[in-house]
Order: sequence, then C-alpha cells, then structure tokens
Amino acid sequence: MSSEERSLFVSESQEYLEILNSGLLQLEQGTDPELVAELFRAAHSLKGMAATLGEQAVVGLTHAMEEFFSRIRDTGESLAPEDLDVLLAACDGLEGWLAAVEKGDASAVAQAQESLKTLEANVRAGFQKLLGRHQAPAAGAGAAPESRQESAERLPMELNLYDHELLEEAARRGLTVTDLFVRLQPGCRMKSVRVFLIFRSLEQVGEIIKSQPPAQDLDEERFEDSFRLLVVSAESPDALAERVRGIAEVAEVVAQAVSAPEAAASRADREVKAASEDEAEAPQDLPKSTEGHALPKEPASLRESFLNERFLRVDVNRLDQLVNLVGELVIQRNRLLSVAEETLINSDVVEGIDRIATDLQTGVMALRMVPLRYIFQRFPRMVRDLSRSLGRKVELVLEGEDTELDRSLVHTLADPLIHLIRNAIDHGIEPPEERVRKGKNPTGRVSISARQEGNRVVIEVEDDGAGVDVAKIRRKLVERGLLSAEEVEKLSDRQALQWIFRPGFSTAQQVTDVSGRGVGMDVVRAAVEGAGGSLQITSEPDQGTKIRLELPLTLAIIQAMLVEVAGETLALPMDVISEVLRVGDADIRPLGAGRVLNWRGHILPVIDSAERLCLRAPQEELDPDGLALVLERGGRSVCCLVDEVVGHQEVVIKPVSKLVPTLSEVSGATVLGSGRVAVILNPEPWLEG
Amino acid sequence: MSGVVGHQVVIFGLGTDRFAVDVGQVREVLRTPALTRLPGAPEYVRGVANLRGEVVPVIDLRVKLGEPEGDHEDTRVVVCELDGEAIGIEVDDVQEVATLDPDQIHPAPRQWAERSHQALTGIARLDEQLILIVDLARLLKSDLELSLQALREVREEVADQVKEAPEGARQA
Repeated sequence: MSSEERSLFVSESQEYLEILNSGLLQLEQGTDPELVAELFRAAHSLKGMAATLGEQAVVGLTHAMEEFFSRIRDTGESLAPEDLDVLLAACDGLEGWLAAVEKGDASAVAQAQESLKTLEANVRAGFQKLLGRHQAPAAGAGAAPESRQESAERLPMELNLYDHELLEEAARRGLTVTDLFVRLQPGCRMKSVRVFLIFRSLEQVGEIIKSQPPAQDLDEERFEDSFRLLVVSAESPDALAERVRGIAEVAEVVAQAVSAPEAAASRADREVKAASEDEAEAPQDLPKSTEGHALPKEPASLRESFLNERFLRVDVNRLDQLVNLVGELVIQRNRLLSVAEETLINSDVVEGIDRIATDLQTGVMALRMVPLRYIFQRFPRMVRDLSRSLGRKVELVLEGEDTELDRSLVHTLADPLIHLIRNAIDHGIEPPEERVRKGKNPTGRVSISARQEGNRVVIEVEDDGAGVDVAKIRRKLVERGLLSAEEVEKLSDRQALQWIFRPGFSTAQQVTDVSGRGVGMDVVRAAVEGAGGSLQITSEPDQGTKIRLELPLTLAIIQAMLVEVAGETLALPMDVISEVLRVGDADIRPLGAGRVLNWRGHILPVIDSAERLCLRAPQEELDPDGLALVLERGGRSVCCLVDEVVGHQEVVIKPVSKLVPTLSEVSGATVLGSGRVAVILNPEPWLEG
Repeated sequence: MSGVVGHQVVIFGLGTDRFAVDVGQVREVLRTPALTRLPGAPEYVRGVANLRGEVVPVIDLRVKLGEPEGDHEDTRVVVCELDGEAIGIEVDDVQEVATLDPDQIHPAPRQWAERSHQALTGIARLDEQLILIVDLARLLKSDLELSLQALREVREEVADQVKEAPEGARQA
C-alpha cells in the first residue's frame, strides 16, 4: 500500500470509527432503528475495507459487532451499559490498530491484532449474554443481515453527478469510457481470482472508476456470475473486451462506449461519439445482468469513495507551505505599498496587487480553519467513562461545535480542554448523594460552549459543582509564603482565584487542597498563552466554576499596531488596544514605586514598556510627547507607555528561534515592509497586574 | 571525535585569534545585517535578523566567550544550522575555506575537550598560525561557559607540543 493509499484508508476508517463511537453513546439514551442501521453500515464498511487488506482480526471483530447491531435492529432491544462497554472497548481496540497502521509500524500492528482477537471474544461473549438476557436465541443472526441488506436495495447501475463529471473530463482528454459487462462461466471456482485478473488487466491500460456490484463484493465473491465495470481508457471498447476475453473462465463480455452528457459531448473527441450510436441512453441500455446487486449507500471501495468525495483531502504540509508563501506575499505587498508611498506612484497596479493579495490571504487562511467539532466529539465518550469510573452522574452539554479555529490552535487546545473537563468532573461535580444533600439535581452538568467574538474565539467550560473555595486559596497563599497576609487581604476574590493558574501555587499545592483545582492548571495556562490566548476563572461556592478561554482565530497573520520603543519597532496585537493617549494629556500619577493612570474613573497600573523589555533604563521624568496605550482583554486592563505609534498593518507571525531564551512578552516576530524584523509583543503578562 | 580530519573548514577571526569550523556546519556567510534587539535574550544575543524571510538570532561570539563587546565595525555573520534552526555568529572577519590535512591537526588535550563539552575539537597549524577548531553547535549551547581566555591557554599548551614535532605539520 502506498503512503497515499494508506492515509486515505486510515482517514476513511477513522470516519467509520467516529460514527461507531458517537453512535454507541447515543444508543445509551435508547435504541433508534435508524441509528442502529447506521452503526451496522459503519461496522460493515470497516469490515469490507479490512478485508481488502487481509486484516482478518479486524474482519472478525467488526463482524462480531455487526451481530450486535443486526440483532437490536431487528428486535428493537436496547443495549445495557455493559454491552456498550464491550462495544466501546472494541472501538478503542480498532483505533489502536488503526494508529499502528497509520504509523506503518508492523510490530505494533501485530500487537494490535492480538488484542483485537481478545476483544472479538469479549464482543461475542457479550452478544451471548444479550441473547441470554432476552431469552430468544436467534440462530444465524450474524449472517442474515448481509443478504437482507443486499436484496433490499436492488438498483440499476446509476451514474451520479460526479460520475458524469468524470465522463466529461475523460471526453475532454480524449479518453474513452467503456461500460463492460462481464459474465464468468457458470460454476467458476475462485471467482475473486478471476475478478482480480480482470481488474489487473484493465488497470494496465486504464482506470476502473466504478463497478457494480462494488469492488468489495466482487472481492468477497458476493455476486452470482456477472458484473459490470466502468473503465476510462485510451483504448477502444473492443480492445478492452478482447483483453478480458483473454482471461480464463470468462464466458461473455459486452463492451459499449459511454459518453458524457450533451454539453460536454459537443466538445468531445470524435472517436468517443463514433464508438457509440446511442450515447445518452447507453448506461440504461446495457444488459440487465447482475442478479440484483446493490449499489450500497456507503462507500464500497477506497477508489469509489475517493472519487465520490466532494471534499479533497490535502496533505497538511502542502497547506502550510501555501500559508507560508502567502505570508511572504503579504510582507512583499507591505513593502510594495511603502515603496509606492515613498515614490508617490499610486498606480492601479499597486492597488490591484494589494487587493488580490488580501483576497488570497483570506482564502488561504480559511483553508486552515477547522471546526472545534474535531476535538469536541471526543468529549462525550470521555465524560461517560470518567463519570462512570468516578461514580458521578454528569450531563454533558456541547455548544458551538461549528465554531472554526486555525488548525494548529485546535490541536493546541485539545489537551487543555480535556484537562479542564476532567477537573470539572473529578473535583467540581459532587457525588450524587452529596448533591442531593445540597438540594441539587443528582446529575451534575458540565457544559462546553464556543463562539466567535470579533477575531477571537471564546470557549467556556462550566460546571455546576462545588466551586472553588477562595478562602482556602487565601490561606494557602500565606501558608506557602507566596504572599504576605496584607497582600492577600488586598486581593479581590477574582484575583485570588487567578492564582490557581500560577505554577508556584499549583505545583506546591498537589491534589485536592482547593477542591483539587490546582493540579496542572499551570500547564493549561502555559498551553493557552503559548497559543496567544488567555484564560480566566470565576467560581461561586456550590454554584460551580466557569473557566473562560480566549484565543486568536489564527496564529499566522494578525492586525497589529506598530509602536516605537527605545529605537525599536514593536508590534502589538490591535485587538488588545483600547485607546491611545498622549502622556502629557493623560492623568498619570506616581503611586508607591510605580505609576498609575486614572482612566475614565479606573486606576490602571502603568508599565514603561522600554524598561520592562530591558531596552532602556527607567525614566525619572516621563516624556509628555510619549504615548500611553490602554490595553484591555477579558475585563483586565493596563496602561503601557511607548515612544511613538508608527502605524498599523497586518503582520505575519514568525516564530522566534527556540535557540535563545526570551521574555514571555515576546510572542513572535515579523518582517516589516523595510525588511527589518519587529518583535511581536504578547501583552498577557502585563495584563495580570 | 575528530570529524574534521581531512575536512574542509571555514576559517574566521576574532581579533587576532583564529578559529576553524567544519564547512558542513556553515550555511552561509554575510555582512552583518540590520539587527533587532530581542527583549529578555541573554547579553551575548545581539538580536534577530531577517534572512530571506526567516527570523534568525545573531550571537556576538566575543561576548559569548566572555570578552568585552567590540565595535561591530565591518563584521561578518557566519550562519549555521543548529537543531534544524538557523543561527548567526558575528565574527570580525571570515578569511577562507581551507582543507586541513590530518597532519596539521592536533587533537585538543582530553581534559580540555571534556571541559569544553567537546566544543573544542583540536588545534591546527596553518601558515605559521595556530587555529582553534571548534564545533559551533556545541559552542553555542547556552549553558556552556567557555571563555576565550581558556581557549587561548589550551592553544599555548598545544603550541609547545607542536614545536616539538614541527616536521609533521609541514606537508600541506
């Protein structure tokens, strides 16, 4: 299997596994015949794909799963939690096997196959228990569904829209599309071998774009003695028919050209037209031969599903390459604009390039966006397992799964979110008895919601559990010597809660001191802030806890304000800047060792960015012509001093070398129109106060 | 590890001291480009430069080796690859690419090789001058404290040995 085929196989199998996983969880709420049918199809498809690879362990396991589904589909019985445990474990096993296949690690695959055998035995034992429970042993329940399903969908060979497109494409390229009807000799033994030889012979000169029955059924000899193939080739129908006739045990071959619909046919190669008298009707006119074999709804073979796909799977590296190139283009565009300004050329050309670059950038960035569903879909399963093992009752509510985020951010987010949910269940939601004592619903609630706000995405993880004990945090802060008693006094509840994310606090803390919510929270914070995001916690005793994450939509390009500080140009994310004031006009006063700004009745700490970034020694006197920027994010604000504002523009974020350590205020770098590098500032450390 | 045996090296200078680095470690050599200071970076990091769209840190080798900062007049940057990333080293001048014959190379005394974490691999005699052969990747590891003064001491130590057997080094 080539690596391309393998990745195709893997991603398709993953889809079926996801259907199985999420469907099984839904089944827990009760049996829905349509859902069960879908699960059956998913298991069946997986089995078929595994069969083409000769993966017997997978075939065995998926077959055993099919038995389960066909039984409850027919009887309407519902599954017990232990049935689901067995089936979900089977899904896990299949995932493990698939991961090994994806890596191409032969020993891991072999290992996974072994465990699949155990799982198969478990599933079979579980099935026997199910039968025992309902005291209605159904003989041959496993074999029945296949024949039933097939006879239920007797369809003529149909060409869908996509097939028509293929026909047009073939015509444009001067290729012939041939509909081949093949009948094997009655009593032909090892039909699949004949099929294999026929396929191989045809694939030497063309491509088989469709078969009826599907290739998988042919492989598994699920056909009487005849089948039809649609072949795109440079060779004529007669030549193709000759090739097939040359194979032993082929009784009859009928070949006929199929042409594209009229529109494309007008441009089509003459040969194609000449080959068939009756183009448009051709498919229907072919011998009605196949003994009523179905064209199943699910993709039957890799090739077919690939061709039928409305979506194209693209290697992520290619996409990243494209994004990098667009990044370069944006930089060059900015340079072009600054040159045009200097030389006072204001031509249409510059404007045109500017516009196209912007559109191209928007389009390419959109390609990188993926819905949060990719990580959200793992949660139901996780919550189920966790609440079962911890003896909690939890209802999980997911909202905004369609919210899109840059692919790399979605990856970064997965682990922190899992961590937060685990915390919410482990330390937030109380055991049912305790909840009842508190007068709460015995079933706790964990909700995860996502939405876009401006060019940021907000994700909230909320539970209705015990909440975090703020008094305890205060006590711990003093006990640990992290703050003095007076300092702790001055903290608002909100500020005290934020300490949960500090590394010093949470690691010193270990487990369950503050209803456990210290564990690994600093890790969550590091991941979120590393992605240019921020997080905040609010909590009410016995009402629950809410953690709010805010992330940029994309990591690659941001709107930035360019400011000058001690001779260096720095970029600040535009969305954090609320107001720009002249220092001379702003109400800045000394306070303690530092300064504060009185801004619309709020007292904000003042940060001299030159000093904080080690670019200049502290100033005794502030330059009245300097600028004071009010930065705001997530309800926190701060004032930072810069020398000058140079402008604002889109900047392409480039990573700063990992080889040299920097301040956490440095979130990246960008190349300006002048060709100079500017550091991009992450204001998050300043907003903490 | 005497990976430099018979290898091509790039020879660069820092004041009157001369260094050689395996040509395989060097990506390119350029005039020192415009630099942007990097907040919070160690003192020996002069800043970052734009190298055809890549943001590359530039190290002041003088400061890295515990010497006072130079005037940065007409300096060069040797760009090398380290852990898959580019990093620049500012030096006073880059002289030539030379092929060192095994006979010209004296391995660094063991205790020095160890003390420098193998950053100093040997000493070579070329045109009556002793050259310090260094492994840039190891030299730049930020936790390594290696002074130019110490390197000079090793060189003097080896110089005595070289005088004792001068014939071997004359075959180039």
